[in-house]
Amino acid sequence: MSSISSSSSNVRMDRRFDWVGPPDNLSKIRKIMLRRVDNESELERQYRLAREELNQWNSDFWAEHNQLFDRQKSDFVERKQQELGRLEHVSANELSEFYRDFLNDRHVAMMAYNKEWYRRNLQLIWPALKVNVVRFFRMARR
Amino acid sequence: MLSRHILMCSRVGFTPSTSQAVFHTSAVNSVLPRAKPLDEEMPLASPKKPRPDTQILDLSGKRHKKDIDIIVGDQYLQQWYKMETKNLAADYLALCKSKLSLFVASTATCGVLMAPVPVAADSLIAATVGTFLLSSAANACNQLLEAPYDAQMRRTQTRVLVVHRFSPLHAFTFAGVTGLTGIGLLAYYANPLAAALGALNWFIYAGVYTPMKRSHIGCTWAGAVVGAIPPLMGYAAATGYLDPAAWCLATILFSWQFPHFNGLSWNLRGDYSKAGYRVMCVTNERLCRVTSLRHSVALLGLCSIAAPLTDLTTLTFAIDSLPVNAYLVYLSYKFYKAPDAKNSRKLFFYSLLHLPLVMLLMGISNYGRNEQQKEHISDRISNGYNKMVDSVKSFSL
Repeated sequence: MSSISSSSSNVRMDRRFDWVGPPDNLSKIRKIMLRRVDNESELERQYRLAREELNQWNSDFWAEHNQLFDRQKSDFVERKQQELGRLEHVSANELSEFYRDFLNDRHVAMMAYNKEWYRRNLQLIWPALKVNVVRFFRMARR
Repeated sequence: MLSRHILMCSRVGFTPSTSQAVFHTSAVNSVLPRAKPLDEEMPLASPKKPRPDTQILDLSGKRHKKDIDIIVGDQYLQQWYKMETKNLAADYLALCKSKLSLFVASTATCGVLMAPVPVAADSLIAATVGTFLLSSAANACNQLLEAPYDAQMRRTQTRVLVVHRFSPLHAFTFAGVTGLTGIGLLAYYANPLAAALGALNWFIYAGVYTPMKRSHIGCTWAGAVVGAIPPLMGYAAATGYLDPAAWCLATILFSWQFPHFNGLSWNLRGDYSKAGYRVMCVTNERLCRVTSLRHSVALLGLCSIAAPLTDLTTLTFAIDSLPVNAYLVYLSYKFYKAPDAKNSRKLFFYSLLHLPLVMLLMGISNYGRNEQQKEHISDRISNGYNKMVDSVKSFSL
């Protein structure tokens, strides 16, 4: 198998198709790139950008959230391990204290994110419908 | 020195607390046996470094330069794939959580069969298919709203909307079509009450339970109501009304949801906490264990007392459901006393067996259509004895 390896290259991909990438290491959200035509209308362009941007916004939120979780969890485990000494291990019951406190601390931020996500996701359905109608007619005209 | 002191105290059963709080739960937690955390819960000692991958340029067919315009700046080229479905039917089944929907449809079928009227084919089929379609619609809406959350949890990270098999609009259309078809089917072939219950259930699942998972611990109760309505739909489809027997059936399903869900979610606490779900097992563990036990005992009372009392089933069911429910109570009690991965898994898997078994036993001991069993048990014994005596007499003559 011939291969081209490079650490930070930019590769061009066929824009006639929608592409889905691998899940981000931190946020676990996959990056998307939507297809476009040359004579893309303003409506289509805005829809495409809005959807890609929503996905990116999701990814950013979860990257930050997950980093916070991992950091706080390892801090908690370290602290507990020090308290317990070397003979015992941190039990699941103690971890569950951490889980509960973490959820409660993040409650406000999560609620705000959730509301925003619902709003933006549902808001995009109507433009999606319009774009699909436009694309259908474009295909029918050919 | 201090650590040894703490060690001795924890062996005795309590940890000396340094907190200022008057009421705190640390004492309760250390009374429970120490359960080992799951392997994936413990943070790794050193995070693995990603190795730079080799990449292969995807040159297929003849393309004009202006087609190539999207720039991807990463090393994992071969992991990018086109947003398309290889198998639309399989993806639709995944979107509607087909196994779960079939299970829900079977509870609606049970509702039809428990109704005290002769089984009519059209109400049976309408109830089953209609419930399946409505459940699919509700699940599709749920996946639509929860795609980024599903991406965070191991259990759900391969769902169709997480991997972008199709667009959200596609899923939304699927939900609309299946939901409206289900409602229409129920309204036309069964009756408006069943259709209204179906629409209500769809709304509760997608509009109440799904958002509530993020905001309030009461989401499990809302989810239990969602599970309790399909038998009501089946019953209403067959008879057109809801009487105490139907409510008893619905309450049996309501109570079943608790040991089922608590057993499932216990092992996923880490994932649920990270993804921001405010479920009982994360926010109030004691409540989680207590409700499983409470509702298992309630199931015992419902099946053995309320079911024959409301004329849902005959006395036979009261007796033969006892061992089935008793084992559930036993497993819930073990889970309550020592909550860990093994006990919760046993509880969850047994709950999956328990409900079909109970529905089967109920179907056999149905009251409405079962003429023979309507006799009082003492009459049945004396009639049986007389018949036996007669047959012996005729044999000896």
